[in-house]
Amino acid sequence: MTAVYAIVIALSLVILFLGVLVVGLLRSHAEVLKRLDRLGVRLDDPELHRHETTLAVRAAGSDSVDPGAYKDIVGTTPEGDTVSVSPGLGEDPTLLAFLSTSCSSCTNFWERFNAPVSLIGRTRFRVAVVTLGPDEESPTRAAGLRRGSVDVLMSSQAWDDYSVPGAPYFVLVAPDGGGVVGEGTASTFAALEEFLTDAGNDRDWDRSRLSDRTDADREKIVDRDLRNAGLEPNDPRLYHAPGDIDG
Amino acid sequence: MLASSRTTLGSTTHLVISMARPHYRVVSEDHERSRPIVEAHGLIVVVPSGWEVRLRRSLDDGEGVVSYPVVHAATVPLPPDRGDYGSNVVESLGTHDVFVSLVEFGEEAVDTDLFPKVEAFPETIDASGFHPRQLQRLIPGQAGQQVFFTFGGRAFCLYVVLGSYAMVNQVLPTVEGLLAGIAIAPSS
Repeated sequence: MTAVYAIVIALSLVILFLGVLVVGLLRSHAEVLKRLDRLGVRLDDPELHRHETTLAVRAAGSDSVDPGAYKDIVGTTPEGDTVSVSPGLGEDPTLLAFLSTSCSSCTNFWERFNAPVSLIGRTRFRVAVVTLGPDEESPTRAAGLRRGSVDVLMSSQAWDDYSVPGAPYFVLVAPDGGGVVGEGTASTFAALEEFLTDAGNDRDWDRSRLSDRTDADREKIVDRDLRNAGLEPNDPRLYHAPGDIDG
Repeated sequence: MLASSRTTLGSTTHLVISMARPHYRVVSEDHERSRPIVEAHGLIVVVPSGWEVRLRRSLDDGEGVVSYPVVHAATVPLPPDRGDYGSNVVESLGTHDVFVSLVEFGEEAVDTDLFPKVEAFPETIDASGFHPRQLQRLIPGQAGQQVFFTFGGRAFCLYVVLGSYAMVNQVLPTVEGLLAGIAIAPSS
């Protein structure tokens, strides 16, 4: 009988101990939630699950590159050609992929970029991989990592110009001199694809706004057409004195 | 260790995009003033705004076959794979676009009838010299012009392709803006 009492007491103590443990865990869990809430993180926020898929796209400029500014990339190719590449040229947005030959998280990107132009979502992107210059990176290693005919540029100056904090890092430049419209880093190619698809869709949306033909849009379109024809603001050819024009 | 001073950012993902920017940009004065310079093999090109330039290095395969430098410049993106006379580029020229190729030839071409000696690099180009028949590859609407010359003991072919023959007078100042920034060092 004494043995039975002893077992009951022991079991009661175990249950009591487990109860205390559960209460402690619940309190600690509540404390974690409280602190997360204080930091502005809500577990029922759908955006949180979006972040789990590795991407954050928001309508904000960047503070590392002046909004709208882009710089030509002057450097060499792994083969030793000297180049000056203008990311704002042409009709396609340009993706500058700042990669290193020695970073393990860049490997996936080296393998996936294999052409100078890629179709992502519904948008064509010009793609240029930019490594540090030949003083800081190995040209032969860069040549070995290149896949297909993707453009590989070596320029430490470009890393400085675009304030690249480390590899991998991506900068998206709009065509026709539209400037830098996005930048950041991604850990997976899928995350980058999602970002680029969003960027392409946003561009289409923005274009459709311009086609609304409001007065302001008409003015933008006229300005753009004049610039394409080589006429900048205050060009003397835009003005004339009475009698300058025949007839 | 190479690239040791730069961080690896693989562990986080943070991409931002700014929306609704206009699709054109006023080139800033600073951007305009400090133009890139491409230089190699005694060839210097000051790159005007709105141009891309690539200078292919001279190659010697070690068996006596030497390929000489080639300068490519265009107002459209220059893909990494291009022919000396613009294949893979000229197809993408728009109405206001231009492709320029400056191809050097070997010593055997210097001061020959085809490559007459000139006292200065041809910074101006005759509008009447453009013709569709001058194209290496015929593309409807386009026109080309080839100028052969020897300067500083080096023989060159300057080849210019206009995206639109009809726009020759409008586009010529753009071409001459590029040519004005090209310098050739004499052969040693």
